[in-house]
Amino acid sequence: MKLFNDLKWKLYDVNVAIHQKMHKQPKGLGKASTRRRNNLIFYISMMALPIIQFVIMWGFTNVNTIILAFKRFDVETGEYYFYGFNNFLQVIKDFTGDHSAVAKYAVVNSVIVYAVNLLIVTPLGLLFSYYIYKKFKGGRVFRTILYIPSIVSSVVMVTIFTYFVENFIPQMMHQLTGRPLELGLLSNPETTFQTLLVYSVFFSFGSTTMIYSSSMSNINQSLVEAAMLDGCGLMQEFLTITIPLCFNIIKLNLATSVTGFFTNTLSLHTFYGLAADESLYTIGYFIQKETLSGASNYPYLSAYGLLMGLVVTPLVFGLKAILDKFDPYMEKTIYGKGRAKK
Amino acid sequence: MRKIFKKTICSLLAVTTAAVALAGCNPYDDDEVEIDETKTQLYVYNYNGGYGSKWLDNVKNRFETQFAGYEGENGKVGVQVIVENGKRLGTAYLEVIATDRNEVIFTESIYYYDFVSRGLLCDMGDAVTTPLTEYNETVSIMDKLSVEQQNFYKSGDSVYAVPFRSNVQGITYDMDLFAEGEFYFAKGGAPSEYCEYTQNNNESPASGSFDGDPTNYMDYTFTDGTDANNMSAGPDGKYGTTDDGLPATYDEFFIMCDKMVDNETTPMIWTGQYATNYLNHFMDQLIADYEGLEQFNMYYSFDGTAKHLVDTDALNATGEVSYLPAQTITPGKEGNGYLMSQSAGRYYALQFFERLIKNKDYYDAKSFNQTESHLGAQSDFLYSKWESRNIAMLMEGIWWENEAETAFSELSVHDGSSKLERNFGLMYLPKATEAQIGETSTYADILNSLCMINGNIKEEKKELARQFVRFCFTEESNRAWNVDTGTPRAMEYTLLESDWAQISTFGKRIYNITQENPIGYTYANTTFYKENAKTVAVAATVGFNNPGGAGFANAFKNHADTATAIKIFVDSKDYLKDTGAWS
Amino acid sequence: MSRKVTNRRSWFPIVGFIVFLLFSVFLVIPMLWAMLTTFKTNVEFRTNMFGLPKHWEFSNYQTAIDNFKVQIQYGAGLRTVNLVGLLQNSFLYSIGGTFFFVACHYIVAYCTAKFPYKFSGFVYGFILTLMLVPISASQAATIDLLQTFGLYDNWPGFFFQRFGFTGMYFLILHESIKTTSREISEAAEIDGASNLRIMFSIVMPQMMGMLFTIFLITFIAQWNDYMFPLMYMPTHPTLAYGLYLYNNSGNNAIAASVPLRLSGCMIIFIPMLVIFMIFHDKMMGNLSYGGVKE
Repeated sequence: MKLFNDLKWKLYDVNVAIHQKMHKQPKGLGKASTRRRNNLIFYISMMALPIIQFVIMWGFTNVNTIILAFKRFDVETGEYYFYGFNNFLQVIKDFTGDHSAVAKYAVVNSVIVYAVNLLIVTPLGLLFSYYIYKKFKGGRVFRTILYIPSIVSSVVMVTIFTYFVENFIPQMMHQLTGRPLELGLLSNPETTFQTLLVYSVFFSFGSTTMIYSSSMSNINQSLVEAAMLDGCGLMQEFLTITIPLCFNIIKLNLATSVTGFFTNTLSLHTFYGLAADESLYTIGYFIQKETLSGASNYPYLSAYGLLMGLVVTPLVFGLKAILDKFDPYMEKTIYGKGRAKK
Repeated sequence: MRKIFKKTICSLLAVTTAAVALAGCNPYDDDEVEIDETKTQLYVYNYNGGYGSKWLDNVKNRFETQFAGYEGENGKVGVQVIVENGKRLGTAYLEVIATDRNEVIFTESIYYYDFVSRGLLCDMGDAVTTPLTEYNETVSIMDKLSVEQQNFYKSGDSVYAVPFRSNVQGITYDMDLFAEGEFYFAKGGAPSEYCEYTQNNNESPASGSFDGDPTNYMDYTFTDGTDANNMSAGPDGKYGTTDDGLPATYDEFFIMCDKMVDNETTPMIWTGQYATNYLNHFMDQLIADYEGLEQFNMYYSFDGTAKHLVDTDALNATGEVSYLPAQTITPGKEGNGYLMSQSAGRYYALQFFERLIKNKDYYDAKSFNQTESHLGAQSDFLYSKWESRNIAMLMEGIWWENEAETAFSELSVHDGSSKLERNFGLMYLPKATEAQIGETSTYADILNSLCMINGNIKEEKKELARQFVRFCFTEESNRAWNVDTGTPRAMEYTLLESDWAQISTFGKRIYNITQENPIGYTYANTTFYKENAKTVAVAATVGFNNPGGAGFANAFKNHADTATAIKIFVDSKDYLKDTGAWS
Repeated sequence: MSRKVTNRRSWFPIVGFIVFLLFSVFLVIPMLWAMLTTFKTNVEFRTNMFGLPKHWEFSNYQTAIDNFKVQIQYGAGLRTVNLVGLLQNSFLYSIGGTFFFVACHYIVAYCTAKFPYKFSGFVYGFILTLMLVPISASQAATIDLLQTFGLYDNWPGFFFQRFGFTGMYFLILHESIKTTSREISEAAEIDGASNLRIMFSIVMPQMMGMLFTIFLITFIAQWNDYMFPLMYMPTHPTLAYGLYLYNNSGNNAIAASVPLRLSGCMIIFIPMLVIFMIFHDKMMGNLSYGGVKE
């Protein structure tokens, strides 16, 4: 009997061993592995179409354009020939030469426009957004009015603005002061650039403020209430709570606005077409003018684009790195390299 | 949260419903151009600017009638011309022409060789060099063009485009106002009446000498122009010609302006919105008139011997113009292309603008106002007669009467306001100095307007397109163009009596001027021009390194104390030499 | 324990109110003036530029509507798209284009923010670099490409073109998604939610304010954009392109008349104003969509 029992258990052990061998789980096919595989499939399937679109729409069309930076168009043969780095040298010369309108005016004007955007538009935009976020008196009405220029075509706004500053204001001054009719603000050389700046400032608040407001609206109100109870004033709340909690958006705007230095046209094309006075040029307008002037300019423009990238890329990344140091979120980035293994 | 979602969805629905409701309305007008399957289609594109499209409708109708028996592919008989009017010109067309279905294109601001070098145009050499015998003419289209035009448009044996209109710009003056205000110079009433040329080339010259102060308009004698025998000789130095009574020199022009100002008449107006363009183009006119055809062409070809180069050192030191020896111009890295900026025509033109722009009384206040479009300036000029102010002259292109149709229409409530009733003339340009009186007046064609055939159309359509081009430039078509638009073609042709009756005074004047005078063109077929077309396009006009860094007009307006013609002129040479910009 | 009374008086609301008021006056007066001008004739405008219209001329709008049209190639012939057609195209262009634009940005931003593969980092860096290196391809090359793939001048092609993610909004969304609550996503995952479910039902509601804002900004930009339809959708003209042609009309009666031109401007302005008035509350993101009840 004992022998029979021993044999029975021995057979049972063999049965279990065979069963285990036959149904052994392959390595990595546990729950975590399945999850990783599913994540990958999901990732690839979602990213596939956007990447294809990018390769087609950007890659195919722009690769050739980049190569053009090293070529020049021969008007006699109609072919592009290798031109080395001369296009790049021409760009550098235009931006640094003594007699160059670009160097003399475009760079200076671009610095002024960038400074105005950085020191006036950005802080004012934040303050406007804060005013609206706190729902102070008239905030909703002002918000509506502030955004109206953003929803109107620039052609319409420029038409209205031009008539206003060229006719309405001089007439009004004439009626009020009795002095002879003077030049409009755009015609008067002493006020032309300033008027264009005012236009740029006044009509650029809309979308920036919307982004900031949207970000502010996500602030946890319990935090604000707690701060209020602790005696936090309005400006203190703005500086110590609102700004830090919106910092990632502000940081992004500041970092990417560096490109605005090179691309801001001050709406000169809408005001003047291709005939703006050289003294009003910005770098962005100069390039826009070159772009609209003819197909033979593409090599020059490609060289400009590449050079600009070389200059701006380290600036932006450097600025972003500096701003990251002040970003309260950077310390608590939960987002690691995927789910931690147990 | 649900409420907000509901509201949002309701709003979206409302918007969508509105859109769908709109979908029930017909989104297209009933003027669809349907295809006649029994005929061959010919697609024509027209830049619908100041000249409109009425002239092309006229051509279309006549062509379809003329070619009613045209045998096309697949047994089709007859031609249907489909005209598309748009606003595409210049570089914008360069981008799309390869995929455009239009076969014959009329547009402007074309850099011809940009298209030719890329193989985008169809060769129409045979069509334009063969006499138009089927229209009972013994000459070809090319024969009707000037030598300069022929040299430019021919590329070997090929021709890829034809200019289809004249684009001269100048000063339009109100002849009635000149008579009313007595702004014409009387015979013997100005110093130029006693210059050598006038004295020697007339049967009855003014005798004696000018004994007044040449800078004081009150010492001049003016007339209302009713007595044709009592008018000054004008810029051509001859009595009994169309320019009698007009200022013969720049000095006399400004004397005339002084008189106008004192008589509460505004001498001139131009568009403030496009002031830079218009003043630049007018500068081309002044330079062309001074330099003459051959020398003016060099401003764009940079090929030849420059004969009127100013000694800038002497000019800077003494303010007097003296000439350098003639120089052969050779652009290139070590070349002397910069010397073209020293041409005397350019200097005198700068002087003209300095005097004009620095004196605000000489032009209407709106002439630098951004809201004063070219149409606005035309309206102000036309309306001024009935608005308690007079404006005597308008700086515009010769197409302006066509553009001002609306203003003429609005003014129809006033008697004598129609185009045919008012008397405007294109001023014969005054000469820079007395020494030039009697020289032929040369004008400049300042826009590149071309008729071309798309090179990417089907082979079988190319021949039809060529036939259409031939048809467009017959005598009959040229006359019809002139009557429909009031402006001349950029080629030779003769108007009939019946045509004259339909053209305004201004139209008649500009026809005579463009037919009788040499016209210079702001382009060339040299390699230098082709490679630098966009820079050279303003070769004659832009001042470099000016105070304020602006073109000359803004420099004179904004920096009147420091900007002078001499300074701009001399600085240009230094700038171009240092930068090699014209090399 | 006594509760601290907080004194929240501040100069900020007063100063802010005054600044806002001045700002608003400066913005509103020119637009009111433009609106009044649309009710004058051109003749009256010359003599009475700033006063109220002596005779209220409503026919300017009729004229503008009648002339607000674009001629297009249609089959082998031509046809004219009137205001209704332009409006239809504008809606399709703006709503459809914006939808695909925002959708693609969200999808790519979500994937690169939530799935930290090396490729995600590469995409982020590449987009940032791309923004800094402005390369513009020639229009001719782009048209050529679109025609090769059968994507030129049709709606599927247009939506494909808009389904891109190169721009600042990708970066903004990326940053915003990174700051969303991970706990909620993990909780959903534990409950058996798939990645797709988490993306649309958990994270997206938290981003709704930002998404809606981007949608609206992009919608407005698309509504006012005339260059893109002009270049890549020439037979599907929009209101903005219609306005461009209208303002540069070969019909001199319009080009010469300031009231008529401003009337055309008002035609494109008013629909936007209506949509804006409906949605302006939503724009500010004062919503608090959440995936979990608090």
